[in-house]
Amino acid sequence: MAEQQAYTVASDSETTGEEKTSSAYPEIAIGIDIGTSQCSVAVWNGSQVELLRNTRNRKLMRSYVTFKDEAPAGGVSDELAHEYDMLSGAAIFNMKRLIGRVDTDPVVHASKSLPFLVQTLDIGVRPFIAALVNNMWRSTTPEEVLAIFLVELRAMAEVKLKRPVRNVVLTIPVSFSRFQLTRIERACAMAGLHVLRLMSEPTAVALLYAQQQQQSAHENMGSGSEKIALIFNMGAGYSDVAITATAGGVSQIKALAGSTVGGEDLLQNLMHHLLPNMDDLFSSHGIEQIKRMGLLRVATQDAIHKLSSDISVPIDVDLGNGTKISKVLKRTEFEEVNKEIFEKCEALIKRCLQAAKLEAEDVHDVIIVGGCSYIPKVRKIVTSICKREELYSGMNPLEAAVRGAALEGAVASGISDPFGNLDLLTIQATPLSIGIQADGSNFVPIIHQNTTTPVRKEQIFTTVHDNQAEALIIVYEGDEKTEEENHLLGYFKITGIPPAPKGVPEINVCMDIDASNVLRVFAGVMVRGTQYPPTPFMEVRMPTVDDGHGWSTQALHKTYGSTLDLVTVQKKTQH
Amino acid sequence: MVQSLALPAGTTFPFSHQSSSLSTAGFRSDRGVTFPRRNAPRASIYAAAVAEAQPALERRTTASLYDVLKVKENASAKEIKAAYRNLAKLYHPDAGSLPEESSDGRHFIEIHEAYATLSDPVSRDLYDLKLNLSSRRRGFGSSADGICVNGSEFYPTRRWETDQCW
Repeated sequence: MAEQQAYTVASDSETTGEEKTSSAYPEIAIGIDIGTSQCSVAVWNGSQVELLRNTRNRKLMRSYVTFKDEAPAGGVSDELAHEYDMLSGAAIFNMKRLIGRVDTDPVVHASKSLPFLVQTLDIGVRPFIAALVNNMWRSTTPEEVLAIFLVELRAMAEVKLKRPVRNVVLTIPVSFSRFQLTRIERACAMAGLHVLRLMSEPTAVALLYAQQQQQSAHENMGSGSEKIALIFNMGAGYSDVAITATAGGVSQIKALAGSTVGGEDLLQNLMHHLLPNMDDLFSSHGIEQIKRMGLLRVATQDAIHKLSSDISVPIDVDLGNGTKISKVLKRTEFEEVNKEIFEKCEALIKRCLQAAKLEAEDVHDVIIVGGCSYIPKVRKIVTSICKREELYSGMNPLEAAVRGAALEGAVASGISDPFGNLDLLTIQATPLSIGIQADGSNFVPIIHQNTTTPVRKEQIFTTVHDNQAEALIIVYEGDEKTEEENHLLGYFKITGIPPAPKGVPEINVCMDIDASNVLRVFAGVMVRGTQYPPTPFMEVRMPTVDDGHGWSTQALHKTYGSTLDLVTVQKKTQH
Repeated sequence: MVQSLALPAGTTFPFSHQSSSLSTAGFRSDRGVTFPRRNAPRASIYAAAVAEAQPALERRTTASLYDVLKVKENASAKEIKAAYRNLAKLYHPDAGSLPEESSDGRHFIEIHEAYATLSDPVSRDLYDLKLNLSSRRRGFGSSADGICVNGSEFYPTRRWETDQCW
């Protein structure tokens, strides 16, 4: 593994080189599925998608990085069993849950019971994350941990493929904000990888489904009529739903829905159930406490896995210091403890069906993927909402997303297949609405949720004060009514509005998402009857916010109040 | 800096915005590139008052949405869907089977807008009505501008153009 030493994590500020520009053959982008708990890599090998195996011949690798004296080592190459690392406090994992979140986020707070240090000050800045090395908390960031892991994945792929790897297609949860996407892209850049496409996990599964449908249509000489599939993906960190309409290798995403509910929540609820005073016992993060926390975690995780096939499971774990857990856990008990989580999954699927304007009966195939797809209760929820006995059985639940990503990698790299296996297209949709703050503190969407991309939409706003010369454009992403509940993407000011009574000036705000999912916001003043605007238009690539943006809107409100506000000119007729 | 890292270096953007597009006209003509058939200058300023402009429908040319999808006006819903998928395979930026300038993403938006209107029976009926009316009232050009179909999602009210056209 001499080659591996050549790879280092580039510094934050360094843009990765553009060394490779033209070659006779386009580089086929590899697909990477970074799961909260597991990770895999796949690539189009010229005739089909192939999953890459690590030196231990495994296709699925644990997503974690262990910090040691010398160099950190990730779950790709590390020989140590994850479970033992977890007890020492030196392993950082669940970075996909932590990345791009501020310390007021409930998901960050829920991560405090992980067996490493997650410290919050609750002031809207990034949380402090550290691994225990030689009895000291050594600080790191989710981006850095992810980058170290990606460097290992890249090295593994390059050894396997015997070529440099630069372009990647990454799968991401539906509920990720655009700010979180920039953190993922930054981690990739630090690892020397260029993100060709980011696609949500169920969208990747939809592409794999489209390919399978097309192949079977070829075999049966069928007409290839349109098929609707509902995809439910539940991993350790996130749950996603997508509804896709597929025909002739084209997969059109009709609706998406996502949430931060995942296997990690099931695990934590059960841990709290087994040890009700867990949070108090572990709050000081001593070495012994971390070990106990790790032991409880491993035992609980094992129990959940066993409950997928068994009706009950004995739990016997000695946490030391007189704390012993010894009981038989029934599957029904596990389901009762996590009732709320399962209800949230139900609501998510229903919301997606509603957004797609479909009834359960309209769905041809129901696909369930992700680590939690083995949990009987999860399967039961999905089958009962979709009113059917059978689930689609054509794909491996743990490999579907990465296979779809590899297909997208080949398609987006411009590879064609003589047998038409890559005659595919995904028409993606926006998972969250994007808009600005207007009409008081309301969120006014300009691009709505589930809009087909690429897209460009515009809307006219006007001033709220007479002779208002400036207007503040605050861009948010999300689907909540008030701006505070949505994700802030950035803000800028439009200046030089000509003096006029309120309601007269026309402020045009235009939003554009291209095929690479880049969002640009254009804004400026229009004056009727003139050829040119009084001041140049603004073009802003979003998001512009950086870490610690949690309180910047409060600061804006405090400084400007409503002096720079806007209102919509005409209520939208389109939903 | 974050953005520069996020830039897909080494690949070309499906479409890029020139820095010269600083005037309104420029801002618009930057779209004019992508909607080549649009008669930019005059329409550009006035289009501003559209609450939510649907650029693909603003074209002041004779192309109807049926022309965009390359289907007949009596095409069935199935034919429209099939035409949309076929065109998407050609014009979607990811499809990449066409040279750079013709696969700039804008065509796909246009195609999708046309499909969105024609695939919904209600909005298609309204559009057909509008198409008929406009060709009857005005012998020349089937530009439907000026006929107000209030509240229809594909055709916002545009008084200023009514004023101009009559």
